[in-house]
Amino acid sequence: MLILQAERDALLKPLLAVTGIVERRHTLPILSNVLIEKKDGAVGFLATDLEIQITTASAETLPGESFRLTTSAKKLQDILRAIPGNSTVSLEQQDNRLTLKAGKSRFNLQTLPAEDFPLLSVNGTPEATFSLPQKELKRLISQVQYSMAVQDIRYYLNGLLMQTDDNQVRLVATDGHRLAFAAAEIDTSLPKAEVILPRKTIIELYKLLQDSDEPITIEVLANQVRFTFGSTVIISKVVDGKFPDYNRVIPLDNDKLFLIDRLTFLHALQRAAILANEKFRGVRLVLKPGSLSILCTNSEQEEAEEELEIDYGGGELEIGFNINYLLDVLTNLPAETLQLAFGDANRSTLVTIPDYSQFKYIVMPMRI
Amino acid sequence: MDQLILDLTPTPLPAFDNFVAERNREVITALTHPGDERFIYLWGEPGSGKTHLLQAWIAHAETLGRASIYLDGQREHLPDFAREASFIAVDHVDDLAPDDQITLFSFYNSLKEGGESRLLMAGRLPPMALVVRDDLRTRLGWGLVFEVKPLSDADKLAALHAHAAERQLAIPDDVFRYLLTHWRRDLSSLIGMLDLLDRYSLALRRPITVPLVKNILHTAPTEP
Repeated sequence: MLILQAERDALLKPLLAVTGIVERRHTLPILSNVLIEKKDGAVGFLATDLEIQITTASAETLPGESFRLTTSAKKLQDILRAIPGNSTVSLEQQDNRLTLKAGKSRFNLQTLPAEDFPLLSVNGTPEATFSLPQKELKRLISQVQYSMAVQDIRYYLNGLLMQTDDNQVRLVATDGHRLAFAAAEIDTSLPKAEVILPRKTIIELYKLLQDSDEPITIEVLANQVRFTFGSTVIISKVVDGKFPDYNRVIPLDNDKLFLIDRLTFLHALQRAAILANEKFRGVRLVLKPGSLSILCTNSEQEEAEEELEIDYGGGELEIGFNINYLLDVLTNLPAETLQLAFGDANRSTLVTIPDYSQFKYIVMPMRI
Repeated sequence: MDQLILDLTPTPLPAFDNFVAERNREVITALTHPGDERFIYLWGEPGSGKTHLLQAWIAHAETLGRASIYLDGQREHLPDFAREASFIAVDHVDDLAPDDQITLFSFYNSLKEGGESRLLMAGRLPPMALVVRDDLRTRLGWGLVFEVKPLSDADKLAALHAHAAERQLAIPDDVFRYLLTHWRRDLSSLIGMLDLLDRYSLALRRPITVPLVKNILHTAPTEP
């Protein structure tokens, strides 16, 4: 029985939006499937890994009967990608088989019953609900996400803290070596709430966010967060844990301050990084009145040295860092000028944007 | 090259609720619900948790809003002004210098004369076996005397699990058992090692496993 006929892209685009979270291997076979549901002319796609669930719908309404089925997300995606872009695709369902036809191509896929597909239920009423433009959230996430830990045994570090407090929303990420903080003002007054969003959720969300003024609505639930934007809904569990009090690691008395042009500093570091040790990635910064030197050496005793003129009149300092931690912040910040504030070689350094309190980056040095 | 780490998790302060109390419940009850008894003496072998109890008692005093002072006979002389505090804890009584023994004796006398101040002391031996001035020894036996019983292996495992949970660390069970059999057996050394492992694993980005522990035990100094 013919159940659907559509342009390839009308199916592929929404499908790609949800399949990013589908795990290759899973103990539950149905989780490698995508749930396709047609109701009132709209075709919805849903995928889950039991931690995150993403749903989205095709942009246009399509004629035909209502139906619900699940089939392999990966295979369907590969097929749709491989057929020519302007093809018309038709889907036929017979018992537990799904037949996809496009031009002279014909694919016969297995399906699993839609009623067996596990859906995340949304629990309770939201503790906090707010909206902001998608591009604003995208900008905030880009400023902090690189500081999230990867597979740390401290689960709370493998994610991003989202905090609401009055008319401010704050995002914080740290891996214990450095910490990034970004905040934004919003129109509504919000209760104090905080959740840790899993790393995977942040990465998927970031991929799906558009550079547009269209709003995204965020609902903080008891142990879930729901993001609604366009026809896409992401429901994510949150990391069970307590995020550390980040305020205690923000240095307040670093007295070796100067301003530096972001791109000049970034390019100098990128050049020096070529000869940084592959394993430790160490860089030495030597601060003197009027100048900042950047020194890298590798295990083969090769050396790179850069010198930048800066407006600085304070004391001398030699301090080591993992160069990647400096490159990360310089790459991901849109500001032209940055302020660096050093204490001593064993204490954290603070990177901020002049006259702007909504961003902070704290990085611990490396003993070289 | 050592990556330094952000000080994200403060070391939890000693408190009654992070004391493993299975076999020492009556001590905790006596300290938190003292009734009329103003002098308490705790004794037990090193590592049984006396210092923890004294510091937890001081923290308890602070939550009650009372002036309190912790004094360590091993490290400092007893200052005379200490008698002004409502909660006075004197640790390592057996190591008090002769002058300090006289000071402690005079604390007893002035507290006995009046006021509501309380005195909690700890030492390795029961009062009668202590090598201190005779007059102080009899005073130490005046109030309640408790033996702080050392922890069993099961208690230590439970304490290590609780400490790891407090620091939100996911650590496999075999690490705890390995520590119990390969590291010093008193709880403060074990907890200290767990904190060291926490810092190492964060700096090195490695999970806490038996091989990491072996590695660190080989390089760690034998004295803390």
